[in-house]
Amino acid sequence: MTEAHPFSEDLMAAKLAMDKDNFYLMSILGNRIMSNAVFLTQDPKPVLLAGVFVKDVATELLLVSARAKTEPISTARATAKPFLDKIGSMALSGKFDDSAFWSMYEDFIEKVRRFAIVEVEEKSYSANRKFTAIVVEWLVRYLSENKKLLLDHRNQLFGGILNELGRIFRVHGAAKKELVVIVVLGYLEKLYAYVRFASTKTDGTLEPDLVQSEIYPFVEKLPQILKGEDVALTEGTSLLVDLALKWRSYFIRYFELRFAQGVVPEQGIELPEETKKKITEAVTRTMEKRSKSR
Amino acid sequence: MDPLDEAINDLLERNPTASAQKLSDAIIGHLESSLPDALRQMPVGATPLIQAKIMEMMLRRMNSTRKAMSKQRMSSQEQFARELYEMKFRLNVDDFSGTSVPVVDGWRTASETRLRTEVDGFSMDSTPFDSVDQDRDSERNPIRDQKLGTYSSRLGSNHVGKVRRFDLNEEITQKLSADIAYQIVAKTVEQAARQFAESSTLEWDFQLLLESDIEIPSWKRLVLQISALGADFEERIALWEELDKSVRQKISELNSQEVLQGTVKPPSESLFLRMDMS
Repeated sequence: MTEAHPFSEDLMAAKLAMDKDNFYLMSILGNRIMSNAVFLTQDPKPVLLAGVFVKDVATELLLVSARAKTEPISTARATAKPFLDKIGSMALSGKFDDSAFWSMYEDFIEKVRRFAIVEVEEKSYSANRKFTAIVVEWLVRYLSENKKLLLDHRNQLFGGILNELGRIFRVHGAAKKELVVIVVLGYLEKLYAYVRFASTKTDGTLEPDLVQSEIYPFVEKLPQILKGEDVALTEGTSLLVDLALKWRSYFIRYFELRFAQGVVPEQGIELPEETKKKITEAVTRTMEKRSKSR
Repeated sequence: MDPLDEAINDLLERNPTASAQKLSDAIIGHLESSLPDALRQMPVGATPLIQAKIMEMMLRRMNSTRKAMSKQRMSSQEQFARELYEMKFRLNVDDFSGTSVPVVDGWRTASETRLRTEVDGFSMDSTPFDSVDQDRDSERNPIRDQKLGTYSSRLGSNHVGKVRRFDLNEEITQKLSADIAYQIVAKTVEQAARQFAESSTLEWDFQLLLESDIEIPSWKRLVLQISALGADFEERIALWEELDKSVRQKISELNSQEVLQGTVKPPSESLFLRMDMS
């Protein structure tokens, strides 16, 4: 690592944020670590993957702390901390090893996934990595066969896929190969959000060119990395590095999408049928009153 | 006239030929699309510390019937605040891509954020982040709400919940990542302690330790060190007893799948609860 690289300081900041239970800030620092990897010419992989890990630790802990004040967030944080220390040291040492990284990632997920599930799930579900593997394969095939859906401006394909995968790996666990796919899909979703924004026409529909050139190649490579653990570790890591670099570059171009002009407004909150009925009755009543008073 | 009737009359003035169904649909549509922003802007009642202390003192002086009624009222307020807070959180959670610490009044532009970040550096405890006024811009900086607990208990101060700190010592931290049995027990103890604390009117500090016995160093024990802030001697003794019962009850109910299947056995070390009486 060159002397100019502030990685060790970024990492220290992330650890401090974690110690203070500020997982939101920790997530931002994960982004920062990844962005800083874009700026230097050296091999970005160790720093990028450390950034991915920092962000994932922050996300898991955010999920726990967001649920209730009574959640065991301190135990979750203490469980995650040694993993962050190890990944940080590995990235700093200059001897980064893909296989060691994913082994630690797998161990980390296995230890912390229980914190992000509710009591009912914890008491009911046991580890079932085979099921997770079946689902991952099914969803990757589904994505691959339906990639044209990514050109439909109404689609929420990555959101849907990641929702299924999130609940499944948290209750049943996942092996290394499947975890690589899950992480890659998460970054593919982040990149797609920018590509989608850049491709949106004034009528809200999508211009297909950019989606096809930027997203399709990644979608097409996904089934390959499911062929075996070795392929997943080498090809999957390489895909992840490319995706994270592209995502950070798009961030420089478009900044936060939630503040960008032209983003489709969010859907509202649906009122209960009873409330709708009452509103309709109130309108009818007022109309009747008005017609009588005339 | 109630506001809904007023709004309907106003709509009828402007759209005299519209049918009742069309008007209802328009009102429903408007309400549904406005609700997310309205909810985001709704402050979730944080009670100033001084008021919380006064309430706490008043509670102590009440007879048991009034105390129970007041507690029930506060509990339903707390429940409402919690639900509102959760809804706000759900509405606001997005996957942020940012690299800068957001400014207190929201993210405006990249350059403003950058300038502010340079000023703030890493002052994670800086005043803006702990400001009671954080609700005002919650719609722009959502996850901070979650972090700082924009809803706080009726009798709590303005930090997250009643538990000010829950620390784990180095020895137990190392065990947690290596041994799932410790993780299950530590998680249960923390959950029980937090639940107990949240149902109280006090603020608490906890520390979970794995300690060696002075006389037999190979004999380890788990110790939950407790500080109940602001409680007098007698209260501490009573709380100690209650908390001890509550934690042990939770431990005895340990029934995650791993424990049920016998793949994980809770650690054999004794658990001690130690109340700070100083």
